[in-house]
Amino acid sequence: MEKLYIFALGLLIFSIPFTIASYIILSNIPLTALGIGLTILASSILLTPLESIPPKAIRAMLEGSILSLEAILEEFDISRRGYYVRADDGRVYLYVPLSEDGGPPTKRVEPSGLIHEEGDSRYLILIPPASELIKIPEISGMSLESALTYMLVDLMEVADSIEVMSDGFITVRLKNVKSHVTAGRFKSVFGSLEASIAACLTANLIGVVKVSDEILEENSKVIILEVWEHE
Amino acid sequence: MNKNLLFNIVLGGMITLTVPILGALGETRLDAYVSMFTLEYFIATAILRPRRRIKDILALILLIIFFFIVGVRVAEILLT
Repeated sequence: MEKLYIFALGLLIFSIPFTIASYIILSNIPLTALGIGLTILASSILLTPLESIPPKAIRAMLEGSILSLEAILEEFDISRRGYYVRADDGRVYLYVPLSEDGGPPTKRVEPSGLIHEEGDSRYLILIPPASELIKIPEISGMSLESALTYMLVDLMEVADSIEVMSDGFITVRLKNVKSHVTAGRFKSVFGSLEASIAACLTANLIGVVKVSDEILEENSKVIILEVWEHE
Repeated sequence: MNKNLLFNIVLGGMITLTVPILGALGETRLDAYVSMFTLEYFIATAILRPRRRIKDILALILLIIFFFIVGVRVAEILLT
């Protein structure tokens, strides 16, 4: 057991009889309150996870997965911007148009291979780095802004804060972005890492998404997402 | 700094400050202290959003106690 848990357990064992003794024997309210306060603090420490994965590690893992996608894109010579689509299995896929961009795919079926054909359009199907991350139970039931804040600010610490605006397009403004991946193909197909995560979450909650634009400002980055809502 | 650890440091700091301050002001109602602890816990939680191993049962317990205290106070006012 970690030292902090042993300390908290000790504090809890001390604080309960301390509170009772302060109240019954000493009849001292401030000391009783101190005992209650220590009980709250000890419980809080015991409820806190110690082995959480550091945000830098999560970021590094995602950035690492970008490199293999970059190699695939390089091999196929693809640089068209893809569409984030949630399939029936609950996973978000990226449909990259292989020929002329004829818009997003209309079917939401679970893809069975690397290539999806729909009419004259052919799409390469890739799994975005955050595809599994967005399925974590912590964000279920959250609004888009809360889910994005949890994912980008709390979990990964990619940015200091975010702001979401919706006016036909969904605009996400990130303050002090910390992710810096130099994978050119990935950026042109998926968008930047943070844009890809935002698009994945939006696709999961709202509908088909394309990263329309990314604008760098002085201390912030603005991500513009084009959305086709679920039917 | 790890925000989970920061949360516990902030909470500990607030609790240990609250007791001498209210004590120095001559506060002798235990419910006033507990209400302050509850308030501080929720403020720190809202700002730092610490992760929890299980559901935050401490928050639930504090909230129930807080509602009980408020209920007793309201009943006292209505019945006197």
